[in-house]
Amino acid sequence: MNAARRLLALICCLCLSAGAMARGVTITNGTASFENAELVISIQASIVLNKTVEEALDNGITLFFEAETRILRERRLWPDTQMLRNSHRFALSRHALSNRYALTDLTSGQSRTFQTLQEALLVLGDLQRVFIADEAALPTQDVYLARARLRLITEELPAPMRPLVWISPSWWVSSQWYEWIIKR
Amino acid sequence: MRPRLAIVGTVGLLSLSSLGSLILMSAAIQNAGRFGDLYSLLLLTNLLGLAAFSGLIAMNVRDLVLQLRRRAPGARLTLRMLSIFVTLSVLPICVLYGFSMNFLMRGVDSWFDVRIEHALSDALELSRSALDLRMREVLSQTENLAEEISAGAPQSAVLDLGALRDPGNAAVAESWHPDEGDLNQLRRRIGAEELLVVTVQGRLLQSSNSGTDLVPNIPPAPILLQVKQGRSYIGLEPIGNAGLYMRVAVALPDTNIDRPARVLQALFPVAEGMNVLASNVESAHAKYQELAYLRRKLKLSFAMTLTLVLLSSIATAVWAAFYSARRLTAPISDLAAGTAAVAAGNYTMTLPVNTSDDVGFLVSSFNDMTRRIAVARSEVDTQHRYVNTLLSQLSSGVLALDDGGHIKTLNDAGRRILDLGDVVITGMRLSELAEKREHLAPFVECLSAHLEAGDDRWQQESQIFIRTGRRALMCRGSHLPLDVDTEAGHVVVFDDVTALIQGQRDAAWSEVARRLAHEIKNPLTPIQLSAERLRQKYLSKMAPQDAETLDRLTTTIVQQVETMKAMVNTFSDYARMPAINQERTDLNKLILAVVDLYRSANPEARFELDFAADLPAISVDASRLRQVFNNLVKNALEASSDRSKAVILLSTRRLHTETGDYFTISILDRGDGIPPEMLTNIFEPYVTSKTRGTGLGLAIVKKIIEEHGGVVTLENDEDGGARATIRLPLVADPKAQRSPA
Repeated sequence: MNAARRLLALICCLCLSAGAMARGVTITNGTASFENAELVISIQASIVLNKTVEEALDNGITLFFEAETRILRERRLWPDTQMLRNSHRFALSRHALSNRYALTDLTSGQSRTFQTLQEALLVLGDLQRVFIADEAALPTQDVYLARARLRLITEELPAPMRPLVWISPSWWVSSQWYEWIIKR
Repeated sequence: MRPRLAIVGTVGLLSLSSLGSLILMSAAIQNAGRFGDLYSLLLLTNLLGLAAFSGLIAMNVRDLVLQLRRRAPGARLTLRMLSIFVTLSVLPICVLYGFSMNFLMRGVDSWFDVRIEHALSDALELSRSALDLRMREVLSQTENLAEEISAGAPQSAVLDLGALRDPGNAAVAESWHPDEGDLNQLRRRIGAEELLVVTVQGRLLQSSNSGTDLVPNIPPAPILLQVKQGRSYIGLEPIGNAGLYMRVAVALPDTNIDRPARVLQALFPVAEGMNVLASNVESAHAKYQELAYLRRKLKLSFAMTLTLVLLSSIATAVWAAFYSARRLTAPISDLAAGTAAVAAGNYTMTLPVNTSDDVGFLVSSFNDMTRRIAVARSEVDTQHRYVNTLLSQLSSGVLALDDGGHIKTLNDAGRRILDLGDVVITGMRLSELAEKREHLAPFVECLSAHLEAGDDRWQQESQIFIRTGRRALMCRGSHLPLDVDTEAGHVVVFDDVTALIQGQRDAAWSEVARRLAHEIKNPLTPIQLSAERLRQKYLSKMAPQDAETLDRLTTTIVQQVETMKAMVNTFSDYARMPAINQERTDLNKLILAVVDLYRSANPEARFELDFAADLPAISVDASRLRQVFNNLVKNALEASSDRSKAVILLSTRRLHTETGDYFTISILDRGDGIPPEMLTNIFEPYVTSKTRGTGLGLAIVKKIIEEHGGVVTLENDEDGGARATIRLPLVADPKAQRSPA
């Protein structure tokens, strides 16, 4: 019984420390609007990569980021209902020949290059008018809760790195869930 | 068998699953594209499988430890076989692991060669150099063009850069259509893909594009800032999927300081052949750089996979060792357990014969042996019951002892005679019996003396005092030299001869009384009559002096004859003492009545009474007990040389012992006490320290008390005088008190 309690405490500590160590990405603003009968959102985030991640990027490892958005309908005394879910992925890599950083929107396929990593991260953190769904997908009379986060997808890292990712907090690059209210 | 099959099946499935996931994980490490997505799941599966095996092994180890602690049959053999199996299986695996790890590390390191790395770096640098040459050319061309444009001062057309980025802004797109022939001409002349004129703030002034992309590639702010600072920009950029481009941005010199500073940007495509080659070099360099970066991690992953394989193999081998050891030792363990059970007395133990090999033959022989032992034991039990029945029917007590003096058996009659009740005495030493049952101390002493002396055959009388009174036991013992292999011992047969001795004594005294009556009492009457006739016939005829003599002599004869008659009558009374007539009597009152009688006759004597208040009335023959108290109080008074200073202490108590409840009556005088040489036979007839008396008083006291099942003792007190102590049993059934008589 004592062993089980200790294991549970250890798991709790790991979970708490994992949450506490999630550094590098901070969403500073999030907005949503209905344009041309479409729900689009814009997110502004500050992204700072630590040396470990930056070293991997400079050594040819492509980093994949995901902007995850959820539209929820709040309910009293019950868990919120998830109405919509959207995922927008980006790939950040370094082009050795040109000494530039390439940022590719995996949804649209468009790619841009930047002279410095900071420029690339600034653009990555400035998501403008990302299409979520048609307006008809949402009932008209409700107020919704939007929830968004931006994170590094560790599952896309090369296989040899994944066991290290589990135990190295440097790779836990993710923002907290940013929430705001959408009113029609 | 079903649980065993289920366990084996489960473990086999687990092993196959672990093996499969290990293979997949190995494939995932070597080629991330195939099972890369499943890598974490596979790793977790293997860890869980390993944990499951570890759990199974831990359970087996725990069971084995418990079996070893309680010295379960076959546990040590299992441990020994397990040690052998584990050593034989784990040791080669560990050696293989060590070599594999070494080869693996070296193999991974061998992939990376410094020369290859340098070659790739050099190739990349070469590509850059080749492009640099071209870049310098296009920079020179663009700078020349800028000077030419400045000289020619092309028309201005201010466009909103933000609006241009919005592909939905159709109005702006229409207004921006490049119709400036000069710019197109210049672009074609220098071989650029795109030519733009923008302000340093990023506002497009004029553009020319050879492709279909209507959105001009506005230089980013850092480039504009660099140009604004007076430094031209030249850079190689991969643009979209179109491959490499050379971006050149230079300042447009302008003499009109009122107009905003302008920047000329030209995008030059890299030649297709050069583009492909450069891309290949860049791709190969990037891949090698990634591999070099992942080298340590790759080694770690390989090591982890190999370690997982090792641990899984060891876990499987250990579990298999446990399983095999248990299967091999199971029949032997069963045999050991069966032997232990037989040793513990379970002769009905039979074992299942599962195999027809040597072990199966051994198990069959064991079963045959237990069957024969069971039959023999049944016969022994029958014989034992027969002997026990015989012993229980005997009226004599039979006590069997081993050589060490431990009690082996005691029949029912023996328990009854010794008044043992339900006390279990089997296995008890005689000394322990004497400690636990104090009333048996004389009996135990009698037996111990002969056992210690090693007497082969002996006979001795012993006395014990139990709830129903004193018991005289006639004990006969003999040594039992049995067979060579059988433990020798002793057997003691004892009988309760209390009634027999009492009867013999009564008969003896009756004979004495009869002889006295016949030989002494009968002549006394003629002697007395003759003396009286002499006196009557000659007293009146003789001279006064002679008459006086005759009178004195005849009177003496008559008195002595009367005395002898009284003595004979007393003795006759003793011998012919009638049966006791019991009635509920308060002993305190009875004693007080006797004391009052003597107190009135001897007013100067001091009687001190200390009676217990909680004495219930008991069934006794009051007249006989009054005679007892009379005799004892009279003796106490006569023991004091000066009756005026006589002090008699009488006390009654209720005594509780393990053999029952008793009355004790104590009569203490402060006389000279009893001569020590008379203490042993003071209660025998004609034993007295007084010059007068018949010598039957204490004998009568003893006889009456014994007829009541009690005991009387006489001893000298430490402070002087003698103490008579009577102990009478307090029994519910009055008849039980009479049984000793």
